Amino acid sequence: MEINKASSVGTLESSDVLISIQPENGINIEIESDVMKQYGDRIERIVRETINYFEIDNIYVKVQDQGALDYTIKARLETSLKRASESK
Amino acid sequence: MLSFILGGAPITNFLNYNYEVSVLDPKYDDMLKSKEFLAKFDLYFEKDIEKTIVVRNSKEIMGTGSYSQNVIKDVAINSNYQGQGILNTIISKLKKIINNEGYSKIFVYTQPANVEKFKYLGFKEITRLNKYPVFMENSIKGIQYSINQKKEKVKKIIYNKFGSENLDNYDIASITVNCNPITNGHLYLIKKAAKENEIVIIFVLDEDLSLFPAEVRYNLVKKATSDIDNVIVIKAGQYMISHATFPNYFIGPDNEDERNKIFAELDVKIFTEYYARALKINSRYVGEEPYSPVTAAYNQALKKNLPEYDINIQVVKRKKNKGKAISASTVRQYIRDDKIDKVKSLVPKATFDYLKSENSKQIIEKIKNNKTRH
Amino acid sequence: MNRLRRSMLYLPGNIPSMLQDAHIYGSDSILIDLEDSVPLSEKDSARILVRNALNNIDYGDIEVTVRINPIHTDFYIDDIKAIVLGRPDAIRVPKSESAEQIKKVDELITKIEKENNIEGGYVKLMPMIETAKGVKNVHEISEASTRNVALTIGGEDLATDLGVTRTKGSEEIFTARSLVVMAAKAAGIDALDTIYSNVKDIEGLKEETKLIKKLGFSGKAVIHPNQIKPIHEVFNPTEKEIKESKKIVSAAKAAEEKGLGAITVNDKMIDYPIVDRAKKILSYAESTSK
Repeated sequence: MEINKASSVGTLESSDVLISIQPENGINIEIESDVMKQYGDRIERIVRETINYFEIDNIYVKVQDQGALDYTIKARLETSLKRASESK
Repeated sequence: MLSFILGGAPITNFLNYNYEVSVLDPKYDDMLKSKEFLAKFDLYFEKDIEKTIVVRNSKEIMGTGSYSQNVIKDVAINSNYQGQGILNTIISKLKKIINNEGYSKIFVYTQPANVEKFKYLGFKEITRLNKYPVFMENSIKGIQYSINQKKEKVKKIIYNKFGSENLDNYDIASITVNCNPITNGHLYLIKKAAKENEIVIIFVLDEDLSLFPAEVRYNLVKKATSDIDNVIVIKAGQYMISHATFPNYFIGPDNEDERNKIFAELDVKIFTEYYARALKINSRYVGEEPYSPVTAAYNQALKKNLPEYDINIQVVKRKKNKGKAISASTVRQYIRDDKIDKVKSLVPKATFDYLKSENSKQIIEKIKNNKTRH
Repeated sequence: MNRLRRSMLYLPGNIPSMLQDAHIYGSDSILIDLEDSVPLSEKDSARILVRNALNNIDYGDIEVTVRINPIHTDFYIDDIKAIVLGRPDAIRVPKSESAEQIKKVDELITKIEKENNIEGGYVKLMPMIETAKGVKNVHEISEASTRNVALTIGGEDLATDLGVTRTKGSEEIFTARSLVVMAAKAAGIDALDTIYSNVKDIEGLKEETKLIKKLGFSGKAVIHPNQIKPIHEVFNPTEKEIKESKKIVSAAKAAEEKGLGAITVNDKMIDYPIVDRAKKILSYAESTSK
């Protein structure tokens, strides 16, 4: 999958996550979360796994977490990847 | 039952108000109803609006939002339908459209009442004026990141030239220029600032709405000032007199005093709160503006606001050539009239060499065929 | 006996916090919505979120249903393709107007079940009658698929289609309600009623629930958790009804054991349909007491 535009999915409501992505060389992940210490690594792992699954090599992902469970992070990320790789 | 209250009101979207969402184009569609709707909120359509989203039911307009390039504005929600996700619907759609156009950053001008809602949608406040607007952005790398990048660049250059990268140690002035192209008038201003301050930072505007592309303008400024040791030339970025921060500069409704004032103030506020603060700028030089009301309004805003932040403003009279202030528009007019040789005495060598070179052929053609201000 | 469907709690499909808390409110089913509560530009994000939620959240015994987008939109196909992978108990099909539409949906679900090793026929259907045309074709709709387990009525949209306003007495949808019940019962499936929009008016809600129970509905859709208990109270058998039913059922049992053809309770002859009804009430009472 090629990321060819920016997209953002989700909200900053409690239990949700706001995923913003844009094209960029290499894999760049930025995570903001109130529970960085406990969950930062886990969130990063989820993001990397999902990116690998879709075979993406070049992307910038920013994750603003509001206590989202894994399934929410994956869902928002998947949606945002699909939007950012759609042709017009 | 907290989760059933979203944004202060129960979620009742399932009740299906049978609303429809339409995308209007000011060029073709009838905007009258939307105009009337906006007027109730003391808003009116700006001239550069590309499209307008209108959410309506069989009775009335429930909400609207518009955009120009990557700036969302003229957003208003009918008070009868607050808290029902109408704002969400509108902004969601606008974000998609704007992202599809290739923009990564999205800006919004909004009323204070909507700030919290925009925060939920991922927007961060940049700055605000007393009544309207609050200026926000939805960007992965926002203004803070951008300013930090510039700060690092400047520090590096200063360290290499002068030994200390601590900006507090220097007397720093700045000039913001479009330089379309750079003329001897600009050079005069720059040299004066360079004489009177330890360091002068020149911000070259980044917008590509001028006849000379941003890259060309930037390079010419760099070349023309390469012999002035204490001048640092950097790109202004999206947050300084850009279509986002000061649209009037580009769409030029020259007689809209009120709006010129508002946007000028906003842009100046961004300059002082972000650029000047980070780069320790203590004075700003501007050329006196005899021609453009928009630029004149901007200078007025500078005069009013900079002293509040302890920043000196220096208004410098334009350098004259044969009794007339040297201006880039004069240069462009000569180019238009095929009188390039007349330009020689008005511009630095770098500019003249460029105009005579192969590289400028396309741009010269464009200028000849073009009648805009810029 | 069909599963209990006294209350179905609507949830907006694009809000994670609501999808996660859904089962704590005590409704018999949840109704995860991809239609009206999700803006057009978020349809894609909602369906993926719901698919993931279905696969990851344990909803216990609650019946999990998903309302997809109507068949005349571009969204329903992608909705079904995503949602079936989450194995919901049932899919609600809004604005159903013909048997052909229901068959189309059925076929698509079958295809996806096959492609993904999901037990054939797992996902059930609940066509929604929300237009005059839907009411007209309600019988063929109810029989259009073996997946159908309930017919539901959408009062707000129906009123709009009829060109009338919704009122507290709901006279405007009275006939439609009855027709939906007829068709449902003829097809051997449940009839489920529309929402009561005034969440503050619990008395009004109860009145309407009593009415629709009389008409033959088995339950009602709900847009706020505090509507759940009042609705259950209306549908649950009363103490008196339970006592009566126990009497009738044991009298029937005794008559059977003695080989008697006729059953009497309180010196009155009781026909078999009444015994059946008593049995249903007792079994219903048993489930609702859990």
